Amino acid sequence: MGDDGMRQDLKRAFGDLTEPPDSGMRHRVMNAVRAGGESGPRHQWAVALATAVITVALVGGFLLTRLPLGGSGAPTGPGPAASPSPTPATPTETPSPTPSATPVPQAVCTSDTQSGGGTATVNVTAVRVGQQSGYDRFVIEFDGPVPSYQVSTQSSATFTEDASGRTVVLDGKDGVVVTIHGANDQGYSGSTDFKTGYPQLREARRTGSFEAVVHWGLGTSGPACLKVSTLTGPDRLVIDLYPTP
Amino acid sequence: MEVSAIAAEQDLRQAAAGDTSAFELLLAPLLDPAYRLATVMLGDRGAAEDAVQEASVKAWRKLGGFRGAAPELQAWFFSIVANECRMTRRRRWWSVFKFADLPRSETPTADERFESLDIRQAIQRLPADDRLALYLFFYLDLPLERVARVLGVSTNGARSRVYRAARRLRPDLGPEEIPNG
Repeated sequence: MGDDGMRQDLKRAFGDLTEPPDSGMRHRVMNAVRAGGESGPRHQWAVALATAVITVALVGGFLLTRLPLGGSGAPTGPGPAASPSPTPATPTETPSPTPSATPVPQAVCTSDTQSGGGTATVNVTAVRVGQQSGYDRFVIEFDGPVPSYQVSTQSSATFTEDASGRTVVLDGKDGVVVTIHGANDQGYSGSTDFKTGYPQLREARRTGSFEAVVHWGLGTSGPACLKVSTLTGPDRLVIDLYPTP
Repeated sequence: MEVSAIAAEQDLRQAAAGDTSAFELLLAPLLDPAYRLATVMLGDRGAAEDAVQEASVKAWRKLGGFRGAAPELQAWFFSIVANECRMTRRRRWWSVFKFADLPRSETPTADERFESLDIRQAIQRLPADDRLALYLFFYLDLPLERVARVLGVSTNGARSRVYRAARRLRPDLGPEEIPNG
């Protein structure tokens, strides 16, 4: 088998092992680019300038708070803590052909709570939103089997934050409450507030994370029909939001 | 310069200036091979699409820093996809390779069946970066310079990688059988 023979064999093998993407992928990818790309390409000079400004500000702030001023010679104590910058939404979720761990249900238009999941305690590794043809998707990904969850609808987009009791109003007219028991998200560093502008899912925001109970509120443009399912590879809870018929 | 090449350079300039439609024109022909590349590295179609999607968003954000000509965009984008796949593999438990999710040859001839199955199984047993090297060189027919760009190594390094991976499939392969690209 020379190079040509090997090339043909490998072409055939890789052709067997892969397949073209479905026709909707280009649309989904470009939706993600438009939604997650923020202000578009970042030019290196702009990044360098921003980095320089931030560095100067941090160093200046440090010197102001640490160096003795006015001849007192006494340290002024720790400076104010830097406030975290808001994390932009990065919608990425796409319909996955990965076999689901549970039979994929139909969309349900009801105020009844939908629930499921197991009893293990796992970590949240990713949260994503995505816009698909005819529905919007919200996904929470875990590093183990999907833990116990409840998903219910409500007739407003107002939610109460866990622990603080503070009221938060999300974009939209109605809402969906997602509660996960047995999940820690301390290691999750992604966005906790996705302002999507999608037709159904207007905003997704974490409304609580305390003692292994994680809450997310979903603001919807109106009453939503839900399809709640779990998928594996990786393990994730998938909530599809359809408009009411 | 051909008309299509001039158009591609114009799309690149417009995309770098923030035109998503121009970016889409550049990206569209790359999505199929990028998706297959991600499938080869991850063995899972859903994860592959996620990786391509993430890579596309990153490519869009980084486009301002891209200094090459339009034909070099392919290798640049594939390198982002490959990095995304490596990150995915680090994030998850991938010790059981998941090609079970992938389609198999539908109608191999009787003569081809045995050998074809063998080579697919052999590919699946290779490390992900070796599969990537073979896919780029043998399936996409990329010259070694571009394989090197995707792998993030020198051209000689890419040649060594392709040769080493190919030898794992065919131990009697001589170095002269891997052309210089």
